[in-house]
Amino acid sequence: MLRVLKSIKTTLIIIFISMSIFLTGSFIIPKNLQFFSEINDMPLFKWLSLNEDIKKTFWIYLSILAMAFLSLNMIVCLIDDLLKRLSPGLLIQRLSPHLIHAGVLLVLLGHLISASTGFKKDLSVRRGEEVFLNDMRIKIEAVEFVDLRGEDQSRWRVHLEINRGLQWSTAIAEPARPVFYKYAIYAKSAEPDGRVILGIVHDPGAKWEVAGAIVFVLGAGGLFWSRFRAGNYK
Amino acid sequence: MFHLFIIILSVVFFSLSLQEGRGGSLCFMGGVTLLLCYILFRFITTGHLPVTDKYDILLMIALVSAFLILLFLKRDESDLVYIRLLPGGFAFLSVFHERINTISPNMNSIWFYLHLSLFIIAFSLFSIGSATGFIYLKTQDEKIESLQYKFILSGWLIFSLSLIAGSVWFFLAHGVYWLWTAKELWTTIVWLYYTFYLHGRFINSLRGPIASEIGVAGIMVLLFSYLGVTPVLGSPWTQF
Repeated sequence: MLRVLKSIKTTLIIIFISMSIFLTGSFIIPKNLQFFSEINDMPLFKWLSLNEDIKKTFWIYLSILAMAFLSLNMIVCLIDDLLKRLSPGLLIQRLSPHLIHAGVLLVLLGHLISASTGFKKDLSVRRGEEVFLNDMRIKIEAVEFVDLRGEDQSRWRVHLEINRGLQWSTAIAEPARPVFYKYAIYAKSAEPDGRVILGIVHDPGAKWEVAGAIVFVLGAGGLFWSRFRAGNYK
Repeated sequence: MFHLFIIILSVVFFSLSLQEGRGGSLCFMGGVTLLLCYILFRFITTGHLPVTDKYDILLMIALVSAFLILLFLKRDESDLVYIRLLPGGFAFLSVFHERINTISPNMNSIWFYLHLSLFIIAFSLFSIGSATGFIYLKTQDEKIESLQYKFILSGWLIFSLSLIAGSVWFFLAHGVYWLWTAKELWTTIVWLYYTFYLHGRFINSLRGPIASEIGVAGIMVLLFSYLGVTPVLGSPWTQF
């Protein structure tokens, strides 16, 4: 069993299966857009528990299974190779591929956490209005239009007052520039009359994704350095 | 009409660059210069880095491919000269896409520009990797196979970084870093496909022509993922 798990052939088979599963999914989603319309609005596992049509969702379960096997395969290969081949002389060259694998594992872990926890919520709020969110109060102080060209080109700034406990603090949310204050607060849209759609996101998996990305970037940098600078690319 | 004329002219230059000797090199440089000037013109007229629609992205891929060819493939006399057709091919593909001169506020983020800039470099590297692999299959020159591997490995690393930057941008813009859509699934298929190639090369039975063929076919997966998913699978339209 261990021999199978640490085999690169197993990796290739799982990758091939994963590609086939995603390929299947890429055909199923466009044909059932209504059914999948809310999949991106909540954690995946919650969505799966609410939508039990297995004929349309089987490939998602299979992809989770494939990713679990791929993770296991990567962990076993990583440990096996570290135990066998680690020597201080060529540390960067040896470690870089493992850092890349560890980065991918952390990203997959982030996906798993995001799929099982957290929440997303859109709130329609007016200027001066206050909304309550668990232990937090958010008030729209002002809506400022930086560039009013109409349609989807307008740019806006939403001035917020946020309270947790006794203290009020101020923050500004803009398109693609959310405020991180326990939750991520997005200024999704704004109207000149002061109406704002605030998006509230709590995604505990995101931190793991970032950690995975950093580890991956370190590994990629090391791989570039060791394979190309040293001229050893085989 | 002006835009079409410039692009067709650059395609002609790249096609003429196949001729031997100095004339071919001059034509290639002519195509590169023309593309560079046109992209600078787009940059000035749109007011943002021209990487926000398929039209400009394909032109950027053409330009970056041309630069990579100039930097890494200097062997004028060999069969590698055919790779000079690639930039012209991408420039030609751009004429089938609409020029969109505006960007939505959500795109106005350094992460978005980083995501697409890295994607353009990765796309170019994958394409040159496919082309060099094709030439290896004809010549069986091991050095060319190594070149293919280098291009695809670099492409894969940069493509991964592009996905990371894209995830950060999408999280900042929309609160999610991954979407269950056909487009994202195909992006994952591309990443897995090249992962398959890179790992397959470690197996003796696949190393050599078979791995090279897998690398060559990658361009089809890549092109379908970028240009085919929306029209063929009916996935929602994306600007870039």
